[in-house]
Amino acid sequence: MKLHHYLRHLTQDKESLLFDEQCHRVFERLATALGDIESQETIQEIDLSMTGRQADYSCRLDKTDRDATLDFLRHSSLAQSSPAWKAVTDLCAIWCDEQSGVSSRVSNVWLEMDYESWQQGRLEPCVFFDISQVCPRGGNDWMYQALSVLLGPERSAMFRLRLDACIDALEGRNRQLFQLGVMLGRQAESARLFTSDMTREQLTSYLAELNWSGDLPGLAAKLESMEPFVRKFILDFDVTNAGISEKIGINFGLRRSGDATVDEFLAFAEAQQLCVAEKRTGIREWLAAAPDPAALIFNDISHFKLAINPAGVPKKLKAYLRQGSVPRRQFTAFARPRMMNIELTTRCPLHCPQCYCDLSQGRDIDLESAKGFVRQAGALQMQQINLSGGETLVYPHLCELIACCREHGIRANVALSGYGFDTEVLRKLRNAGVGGIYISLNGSTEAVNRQSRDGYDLAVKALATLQQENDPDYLINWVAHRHNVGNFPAMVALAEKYGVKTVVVMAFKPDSRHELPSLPSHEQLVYLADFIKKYPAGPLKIVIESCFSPLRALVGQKFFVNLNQGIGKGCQAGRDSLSVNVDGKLTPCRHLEIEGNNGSIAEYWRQSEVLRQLRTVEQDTRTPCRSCNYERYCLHCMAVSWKMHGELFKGNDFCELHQAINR
Amino acid sequence: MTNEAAIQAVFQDEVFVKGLFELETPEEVQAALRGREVEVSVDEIRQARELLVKRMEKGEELTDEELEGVTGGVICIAGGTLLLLTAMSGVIAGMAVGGGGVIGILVTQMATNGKW
Repeated sequence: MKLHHYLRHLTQDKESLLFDEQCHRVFERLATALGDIESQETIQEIDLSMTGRQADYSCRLDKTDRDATLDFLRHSSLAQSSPAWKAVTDLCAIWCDEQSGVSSRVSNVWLEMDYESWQQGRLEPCVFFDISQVCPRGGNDWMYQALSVLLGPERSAMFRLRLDACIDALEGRNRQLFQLGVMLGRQAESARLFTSDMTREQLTSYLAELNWSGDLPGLAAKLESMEPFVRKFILDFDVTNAGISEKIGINFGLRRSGDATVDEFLAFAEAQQLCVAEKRTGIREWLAAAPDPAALIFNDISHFKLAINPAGVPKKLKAYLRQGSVPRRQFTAFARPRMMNIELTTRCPLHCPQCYCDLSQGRDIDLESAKGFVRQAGALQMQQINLSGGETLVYPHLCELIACCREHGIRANVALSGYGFDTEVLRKLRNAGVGGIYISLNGSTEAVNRQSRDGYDLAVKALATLQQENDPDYLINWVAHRHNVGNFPAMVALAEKYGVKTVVVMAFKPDSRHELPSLPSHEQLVYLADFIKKYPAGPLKIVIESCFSPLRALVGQKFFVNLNQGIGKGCQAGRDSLSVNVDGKLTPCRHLEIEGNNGSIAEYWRQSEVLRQLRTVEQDTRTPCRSCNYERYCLHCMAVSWKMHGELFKGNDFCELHQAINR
Repeated sequence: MTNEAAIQAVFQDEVFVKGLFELETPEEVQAALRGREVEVSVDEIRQARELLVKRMEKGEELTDEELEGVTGGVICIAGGTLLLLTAMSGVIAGMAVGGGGVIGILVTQMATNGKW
C-alpha cells in the first residue's frame, strides 16, 4: 500500500492527543514527497515521557516493494536533492540486484524520517536494513557492502573492526541480529545495531562483554522490574570506531496482547514517571480507532523502547505506533460503513412464500432521498450499494439511481426475480453502470423452487438471457431451506450450465410475518458444508453470505484453527454495513428494522445506540450460543434475535448447529 | 538437509504455511510436510496444534519451557522438533481479527457478496 493511504488515515483525526497541528503539517509534507512509496507498514515513534505531540515517521519495505521503491527514487528528485537520498537509492539498487549478496539476504529495509529535520525542511531519511542473516566469525561481506553504500567505503571500513567484535560476541549465545542502520538524517558518524530478542540475563551479559560503560546493575534491576510485562528485549546501540555508545535503547513488546495489557503497562510507566497521562489516553484512543474500510489500514502498537542514558537510567519511554494492512487486534466495526443496502420498493408482482417484505402497502423510496444517501455514501468512500426490493425492476428510477452510484464511484448491485427482465432491460442496466446482477432462485426445478420462491421460469429465463448476452457479472442468490438443501448439487449444476459466476448461499431470515419455518436441519448443514468444501475451484464460485454464520463456521473448521473469525465471521449489521428502508430511514440492516431518525450516515454510524449495542453483543453472549462449541467462530443473524425474541442480546434458539451439538 | 533446516526452509514459504491452515486432519498435515522433506509424527502435530490453540484462541501465554525452543520461527517441543512458528502466528493474527490477512480478505470478499 502506498504511504499516502497510511498518511491519509493518520491525519483524519485532527484532535489527536498524540499528534499536534505542526506534526500534521509534517505528515502532509511527507505525503507530498514520499506518498507514492509502497510499504508494508508504517511506524510513528512518540515520546511517552513528554507532553509534546510529535512523531518520527518510518516505513518498512519488503522484497515485494523494492523494485517499485527503486523506480520511485530514480524518478523523483530526491536522489538529486541530498547525499542521504542518493545513498538510499544506491542501497535499493544493490538490494534489487540479484547478483549482489545483499539481494538474497536482506528481507526488509526501513526508512525513518526524523520529525525535527522534516519540520525544518531537511527532507532526509535514516535507513535501516535487515541483518538477520549475519553470522559471527565472518562471511558478512554483503553487510559491509550495504553499509559502505550508506556510510562511504572509508567509514564503513573504519567501523568494521568494532562491528565484527559486536557480532562475534553473539557467538554461543544462540542469538541473531535484527537490523543495522545509519542515521543519515542526523548526519551521525556511527552505525546503529539492533540485536534480536534476548532475556534480561543474555542482554546484560552481552553488554558486559562489549564493555558497556553504563550502570549495568542498575539497568538489570530496571529490566527485572519490568518482567511482569516483558519477557524479551532487543538491544540497540551505536557503533563508532571508538567503541559502542553509552546511550542504548531497550526495545520490547508486551508478554500478552490486548488493550488492557497495554493500559496496565502504561499505568506502571506513569507511576515510574515515564509516561504522561495525556499520552496514555492518546494510546487508548489510537488502539480504539476503527480501521479504515477502503484501504484496510489497522492501528496497533509495534513495540516500546526505553532510551537509557549513559548513567544507565531510563531517560525516555517511547511507543512505536503501527499502521499496517494485517490486522493484529480484534475490532468490531470499521471507521465508516463499507456497504449499504437501499430498499427501493415494497411492490412485487410475485408471491414468494419466504418473502421478507410486507407487500400489503406497496411503496417506493423517494428518488431524491435515495440519491441523497448515495451522495453521502460517495463522500464516505463506500464501496458497494445493494439495491433491493420488493421487485427491484418495478422501481421506476432504477437506472437513474444506478447511474448516480456510478457517478459517486460506488458499485451498485441489483437483486432481481427475473420479472420484466429481457435483453433491452439488461442493456439499460449495463449502460447505467450496474455492478453484479443477482438472480433469486432457490431450486433447480420448479417444484423445489416454488416451496420458498415464486417465478422459477422468470429466473431461468433471466439466466439464459444473461448467458446469451455474455454478461460479465451475474450471480444466483440461493436461500437454504429444509426442502432444498438436497437439491443444492443440482442447483450448482444448473448454475454451471448457465455460466453463472457465483452462487451465494444465504441464510433464511425471519419472514414478513416474523416466522422462521423450514430451517435446514443439522445434518443438512453438515451435508451442505461438506459439498461446499469439496466443490473444486473453477469458473463457478460458491460463497456463503456472512449472515449464514453457522454454515461458515462449519466450512471454516480446519485442523489447526477455525478460519471463520474476525469481523467477517457473521452478522455485520452496524459493523461494516447498514441499510436504508423504503421510507428513507437508516436501519442497521434490511432485516433489522429498527429505524434511526438521523439522515446523516456518518452521524448514525458514530452515534447510534443500536449500532453500539450490535457491536458489543459478543461481550454478553447469551444461551444457547454461550455454551456452543462454535461460539468464537459464529455470530448469528441479529434479525433472528430481534424479530423472534424482541431483543438484540439473545442467543439463537433456532440454531440447528447448536441444538445438534448439545443434544 | 537436516530436519531442522528443512523446517526452517518450509516455514519461510508463506504460501505453503497458509496451505497448512486449509488442511483438516493431522495426517494431511504430516503428508504435506513429508512432501517438503520434513518428518514429524502425528502426535507432534497434535501438540503443536494445542500450543497454537492455547496461544491464539485462548489468549494464554506460553510457558518459558514452551518458548525456550523458539528459534527462527520454529518451536521445538518435547519429543521432537516441530512447527508452530512465528510465520504461522502472523497468518493467524491476520485472519483471527479478520479482513486483512490473505484468508481474512477472502472472508471479507465473500461477505460482500451476501447480505441481501
